Amino acid sequence: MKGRNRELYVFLLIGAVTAACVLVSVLVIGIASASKNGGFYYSYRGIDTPLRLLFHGYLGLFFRINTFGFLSWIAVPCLIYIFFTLRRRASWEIAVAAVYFLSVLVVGIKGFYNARYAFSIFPLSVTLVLLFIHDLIREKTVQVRAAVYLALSLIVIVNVFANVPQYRKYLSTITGDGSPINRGIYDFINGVNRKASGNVNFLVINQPDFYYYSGARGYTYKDNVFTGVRGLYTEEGILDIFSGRTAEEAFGIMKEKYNIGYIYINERKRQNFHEIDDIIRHGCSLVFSDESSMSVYRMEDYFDPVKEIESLEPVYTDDFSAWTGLPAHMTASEYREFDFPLKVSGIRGEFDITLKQENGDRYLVISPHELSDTSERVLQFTYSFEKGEDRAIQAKSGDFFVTSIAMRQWTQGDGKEQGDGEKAELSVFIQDFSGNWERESLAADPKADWNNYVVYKRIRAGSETVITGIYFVPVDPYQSIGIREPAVYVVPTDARK
Amino acid sequence: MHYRYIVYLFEFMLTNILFSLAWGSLFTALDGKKSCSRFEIYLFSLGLGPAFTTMFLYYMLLLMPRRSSLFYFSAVCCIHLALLVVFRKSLPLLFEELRGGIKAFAGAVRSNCTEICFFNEDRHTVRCDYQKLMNIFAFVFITLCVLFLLYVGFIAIGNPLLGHDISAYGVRGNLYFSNRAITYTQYPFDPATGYVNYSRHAPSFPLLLTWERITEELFGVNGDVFFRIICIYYFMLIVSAQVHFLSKRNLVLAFIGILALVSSTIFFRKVVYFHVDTYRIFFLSVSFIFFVRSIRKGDNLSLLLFTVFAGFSAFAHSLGLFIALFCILAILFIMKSGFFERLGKVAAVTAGLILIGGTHYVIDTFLGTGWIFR
Repeated sequence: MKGRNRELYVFLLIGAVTAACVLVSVLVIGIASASKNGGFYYSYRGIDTPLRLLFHGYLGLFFRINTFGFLSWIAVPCLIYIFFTLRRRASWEIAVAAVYFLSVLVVGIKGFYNARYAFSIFPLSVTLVLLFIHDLIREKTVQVRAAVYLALSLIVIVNVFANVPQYRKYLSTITGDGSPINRGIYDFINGVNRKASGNVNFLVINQPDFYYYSGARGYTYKDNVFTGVRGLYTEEGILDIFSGRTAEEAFGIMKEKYNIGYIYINERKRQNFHEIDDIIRHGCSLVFSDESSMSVYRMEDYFDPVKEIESLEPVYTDDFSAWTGLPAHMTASEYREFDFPLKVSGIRGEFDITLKQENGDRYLVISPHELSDTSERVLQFTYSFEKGEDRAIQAKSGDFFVTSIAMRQWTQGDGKEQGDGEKAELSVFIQDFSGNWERESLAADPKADWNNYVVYKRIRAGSETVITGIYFVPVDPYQSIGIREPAVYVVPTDARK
Repeated sequence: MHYRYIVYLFEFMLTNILFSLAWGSLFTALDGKKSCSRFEIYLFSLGLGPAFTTMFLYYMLLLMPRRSSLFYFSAVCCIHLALLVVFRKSLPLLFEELRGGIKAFAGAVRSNCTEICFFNEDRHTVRCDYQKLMNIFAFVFITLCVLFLLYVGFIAIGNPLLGHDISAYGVRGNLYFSNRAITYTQYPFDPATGYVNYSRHAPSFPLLLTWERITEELFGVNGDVFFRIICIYYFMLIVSAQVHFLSKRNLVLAFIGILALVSSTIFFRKVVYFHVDTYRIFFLSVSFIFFVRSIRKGDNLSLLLFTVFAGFSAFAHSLGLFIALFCILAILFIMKSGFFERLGKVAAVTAGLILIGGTHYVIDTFLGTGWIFR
């Protein structure tokens, strides 16, 4: 009896240590998840943080709380306990522990990026844990057993309540009649196919539902980090179409050789296909999209608006970069009182704005106001263009709106030194409003020398407002930026001809 | 009721119930020593009907391709009907034990819930008030959980097949049906659709859709309801198996188990969004139960059932194959019997495993896409 009590205490001790690990992982991973969503894709693309990769990936079966609940981690002290009491175990117990351990090893090493693999042994894991605990307390008093069962019940009940929002989310997606959500997209694809008498192919970005629900012909494009398979699945084999070619050349091959006229893509996954994203941005127009984030793009002519602006005049130059009338130094709050096209449209904390001149060029330096203030600071400068206003949108639907701006950055106040610390968040963006806001953003990492940044966005049908600007979040009070020569261009659709 | 729903119901009853009962009868007949609970055999066999159907379809499409739907349908039906006829005497045993269980259960409810345990092996352990009280609560909650799951499953049948893997399995099932053949090439490009069947997916699950297409072609219906029901069906089988297994200890344990399982977001997600997972995990979990029994008891029926369930686990997913290999290694090194006896048993299990679920991997490795080597 004494021996069994000691076993129970040892087990409880191991449990307490593991519970502390769980607590740490929940806290740390919780903090990590709060700022960045899409853990699956971070692991899948191999860009996860080491901590998340360890707890959420390799040891996901035990510590991926939001997927497997609060009970599965108990398997860890059980395994450790069995390991230390191996000599006293029956042969079948050793067999169970060995196979379970090997299975955990396989799903951890080979399937860490996808919780589905750990899920394979999850029911087994839960059942084994419960049987193990039952066996451990079988000869204890009724009170001890009741306490253990109540504790376990409490854990799973907390799990239910913690996941209610997820259950609701899943249930809300049930359409009820077995037909695909917004079946229209497959009708549209079939319509396009009929109209072209089957003489057009689709580029299918890893979406097998295309083949399941539509009758059109497609070429699949995949980019899988873990299997290493990347390319276009053609008659001749898997062609790594972007290897050694520019996006424009790949675009040409797809159109000419493989007669691809349309792209079928899930917008939620588009960020994982950079080259395809490039092609869509430069050479395609959206012809169909639905609520489930599926889109069909028509492949037009490849077109790079950045090249085009070299031969175009900016449309709104004069009053944009002329800082005439501004005092040499002011705060961002004071700047708001001046009637300049470049507005402070969002501010948290306070900034200094200094007008400077260098080799005849005038530029603005923006820096945090109080060096001693370490609270979060955010500044957003924008130019806005609205239908019916002085600065009306001079772009038609489909035209490119292009913003070019030169920037430099210092990390030691107004000095020239570039520090090694955490980088400031800085981006140039354009967004248009057509029922909702859609933003194209370019992350900038300028150094002490001037760098030119160009961001462009295709204007959507019905857009009445376009905003372009700079978003700046310094992470320490010594980070400042300089901006000069902002210019906005409109590259009409017919410029591609 | 709409005609097509009658067809779906017929398909379900035929494949999941009747065919499964045929296998249940066979294994019951083989269990002369009553080493396994009859109820367990039938409960676990409920998953075997669809699995054996896909196995027969696989071999027929591989060895006898390009025949009519009627040929494949009648061949599968004939095999199962023959089994039912031959082992018809074992069938009533199921109902005997089921009736006995219901009687015992009703008696327990009548006597103020003193012993609410399904087929409890050690009932003397529940004779205390705390345990009675907890058992009553646990029973009520298990019932509520199961009813809720049935409800969710019922409304989830309306969901389309939109996930990446499930639609890939669907396309594959459609290809098997349209070609009426399973072929292996290094680069399986389908010129008609442009689809490349280059995944490492095992064939069992897509063949369920092929079976649905074959059956429905005969009845002039076109849909995938049966294929979608399969995911929910196996989900319920996993839950039932777990509740049954844990309730043998006590109902509170079963209650904690079922809640731990279905309250996890991943499990809940699998009911709403269809996937191969519930199908393969059922076979994996049950194979593990029989693996433990094989080691503990060393009887041939447990080994046979381990081979069958591990075989289908492998036939559904390659992970099942690897875990089955671990189990075989454990049998070879840990089972208590003479070395040559163990070696003989392992050889028999391996042969059965390859026959049921490994042929695809062997052919695909050497004649197809290269499977494990790519």
